[in-house]
Amino acid sequence: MLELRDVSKRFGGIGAVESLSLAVREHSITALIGPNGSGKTVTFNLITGLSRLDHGEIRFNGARIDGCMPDRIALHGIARTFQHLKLFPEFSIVETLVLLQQPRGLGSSLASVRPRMMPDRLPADAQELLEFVGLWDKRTEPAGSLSYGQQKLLALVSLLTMEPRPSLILLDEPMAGINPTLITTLVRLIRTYRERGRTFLIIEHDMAVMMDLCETLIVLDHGRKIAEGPPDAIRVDANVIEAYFGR
Amino acid sequence: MSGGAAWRIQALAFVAAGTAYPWLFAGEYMLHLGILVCLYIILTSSLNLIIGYTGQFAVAHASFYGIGAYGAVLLVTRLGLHYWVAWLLAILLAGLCAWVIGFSALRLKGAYLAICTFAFSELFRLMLDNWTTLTNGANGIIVRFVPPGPRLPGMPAWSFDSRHRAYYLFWILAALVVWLVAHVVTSDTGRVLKAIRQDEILAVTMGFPAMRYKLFAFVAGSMLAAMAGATYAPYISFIAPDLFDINETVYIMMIMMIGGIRTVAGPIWGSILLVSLPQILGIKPSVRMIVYGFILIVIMIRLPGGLSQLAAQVGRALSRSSAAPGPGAAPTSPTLAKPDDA
Repeated sequence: MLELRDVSKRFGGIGAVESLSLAVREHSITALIGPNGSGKTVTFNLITGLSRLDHGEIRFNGARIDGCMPDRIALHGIARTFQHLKLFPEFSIVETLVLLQQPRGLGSSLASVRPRMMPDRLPADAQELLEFVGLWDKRTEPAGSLSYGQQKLLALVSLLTMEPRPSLILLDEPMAGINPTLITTLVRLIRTYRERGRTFLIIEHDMAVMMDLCETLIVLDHGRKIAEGPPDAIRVDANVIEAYFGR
Repeated sequence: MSGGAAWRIQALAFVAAGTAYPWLFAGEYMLHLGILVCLYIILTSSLNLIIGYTGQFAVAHASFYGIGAYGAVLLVTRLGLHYWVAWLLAILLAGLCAWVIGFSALRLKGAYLAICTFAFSELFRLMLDNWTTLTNGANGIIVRFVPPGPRLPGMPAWSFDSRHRAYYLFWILAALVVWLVAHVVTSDTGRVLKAIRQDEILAVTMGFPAMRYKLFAFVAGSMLAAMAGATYAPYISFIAPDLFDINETVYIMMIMMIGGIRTVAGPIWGSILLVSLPQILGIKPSVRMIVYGFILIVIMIRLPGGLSQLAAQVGRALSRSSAAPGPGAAPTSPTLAKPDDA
């Protein structure tokens, strides 16, 4: 589904990502792990078009997407969250979700004369989802007033209900800084929506959760891929142990 | 929704007050003040679309106002065009200029965008000052025509030659602009503009072509400012470069902040206060900006939502005291100050 071939990105003299090749299978949950500074978020930025790559190519469902503008890449079906959480802080949960149901182009926005009654324009599965994550009662509150954990849930929920539906969802440290109960909720959400046909690529430091959740783990260190495989193989991989703990 | 109802009442009150104004204050001078209020409502509402709702800190608004004024006057006097054709062409010219400038400058953010648009504003002023064969330089141009009125069957030709007629022309345009901006900011387009202001990168990664939306707001706002200029020039019958310099932009920004940024009613309240206050208090022009600066500081500290926040608080207090007892008491309307969020 997603394929990176020999991708490199340098900032000044420092190679943030060096000849990275990886593939994400459709309907899989894949982890992208590695020590701090190993190039995980840069890889996300390259995939979503926020950074330009210096070398290599990125294909999504066979089509090259490197060089596309970020909004075009999003319309190909790739959505992401951010490590430093991004939300529209003044929008309520309802308004955030309604925004993501709207047509994206300027012309169709200007032509749209749909009624302003916002709750009527919520996607069909929004109530079920919001109730599941415990945000339904807070749906009219501004996103900025929610707790950090709730904001993280909202970021994920908004990608899950977004139209047109993204087929590949990139999550940048979705579990960081939230409590164990919420982590359980997040894991269940990700599993459920994988069953419903989505594909996930996740950056995360919580190894216990990732070993349990993902079929494939890709390990980066200093911008290079040092290992790839199922959890059991990664757990005992000598390169991975060295990258995390030293020789 | 009570917020929507309260907003409708406020809108009706504005329409009624604006229509009745010439009967209440018939004097030439009072009509002139009414026209100024309408002029600044147009200029402030359009800037509110660019800075307030879309968050693009562009400070060349007075230049587009000037392009409208000089454009309309020069097209009539130099090319002999019919006034309303010149009026339309001047607005389109401003739109074209805004598109060209916005296409490059709107990639910049915050202070960088402000500096870039300030440079354009200065360039425009210098051009007006120095291209004397076209603009008559700092001496300005005396405008010797009045806008002709639309030909109606069975009626003699007429023009906007009295203050009454000029007032109604400005009043209708101001009401149209307020309605148009309110319509845009409460629509799907407005929701995207507000999203871009809050987090442009997030909006882009969700598939919204932010640059196009920013350009739309900038071009549309600039064209409305040009419309104000093209209409005002023949009324005031004299235009000069210093009417359209950076000080004018700062003045419009002050009205926006004092009235209430990101509110539909803010430009109306702000224009009424800042146009009438110096007349009522008899402030000399030389100390005008000092007084405004002081008001701005007080408002920013005590009333960050501007005068429309105050109006909302008053409205809430009134509805509370009138519907105090019983479970049927009208819910307060936190959306009054921000009808766009209804």
